[in-house]
Amino acid sequence: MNVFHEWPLVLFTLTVQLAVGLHLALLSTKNLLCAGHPAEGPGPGARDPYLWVGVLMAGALAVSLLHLGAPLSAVHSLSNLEDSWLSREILVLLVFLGLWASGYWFGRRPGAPLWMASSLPWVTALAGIGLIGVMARI
Amino acid sequence: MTVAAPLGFHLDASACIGCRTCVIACKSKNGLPAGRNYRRVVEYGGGSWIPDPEDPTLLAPSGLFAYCLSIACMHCQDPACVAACPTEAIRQRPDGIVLIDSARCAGCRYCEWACPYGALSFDSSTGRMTKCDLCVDLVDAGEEPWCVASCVTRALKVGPVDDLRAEHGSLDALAPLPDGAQTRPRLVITPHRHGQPAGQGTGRSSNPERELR
Repeated sequence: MNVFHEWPLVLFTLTVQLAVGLHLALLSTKNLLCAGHPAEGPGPGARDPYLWVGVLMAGALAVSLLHLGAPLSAVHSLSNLEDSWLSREILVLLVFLGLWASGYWFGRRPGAPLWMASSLPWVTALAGIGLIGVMARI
Repeated sequence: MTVAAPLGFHLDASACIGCRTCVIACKSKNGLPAGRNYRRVVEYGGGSWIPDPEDPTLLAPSGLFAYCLSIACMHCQDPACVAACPTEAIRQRPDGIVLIDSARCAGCRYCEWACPYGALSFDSSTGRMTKCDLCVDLVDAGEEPWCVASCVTRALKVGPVDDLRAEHGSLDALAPLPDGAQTRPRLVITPHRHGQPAGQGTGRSSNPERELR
């Protein structure tokens, strides 16, 4: 067996878990350490650490394709949610990524409902914890 | 042969001499390259040599034993590969034959990890998984798989697994095979006289890397 075959999988696993951990750390830091301070968005040209969650997830998804012998057939990956933990992992990963993107978008869009901007990161965090759990079952 | 009844293999381990004619027949039928086999022969043995009590300058056998197990996909009742496959590329027919739909296979190789028998192999030329299909084209035509037809000692048979169990018993594992409770393989074994229970073997496989992962 080619030992390099498993490296994309190792990178994918570590990067996804790094992204989930980063999201949780940023969320808890913002809400615990900055409680009571006026909310301030990133200033012009400032680096937004939340963006890295999405960058890491997108990178992990791209790397995961390197693990596949026939990447185009990955479109069928959600077919076996009934039995396959790998199918479930991909589903929860996409849910996490979608929630993160929604939270990122609404959190920086003037006029977005406040409840949405404030609750989506928490829902995303729950999805992230679920994702770690599902990954552990594979 | 009744196609509707779940099919299985009968392996008479007391008759298998490890000649690998079944392996070669399978390779020929499926056009497999060197290093990739759907059917393999596991050699298992143990015991030792001790000083002969009557003449300590000589060695005498102490519990020596060896036997061979010809194995391929077991077309299990609870196939782990089917459950692991995220793309539903691996499916089981009503007659129990587990088949791979190559067009759906993404080549993620999770089935290879899941199968306790190491029955799936990766075809690097297509990037997809392959395995024993029980010579489904022949079985559908009422003929025997090539491994069965080629066996020189008639140690291998295929047929409705319920009939095989009624005739030969329900033993589905010997060391070094995994316990059959995992996936309920459609395999019926007539044990070699030195056959050891799965999980309690005192010997070792002489070719574990090549034959049983």
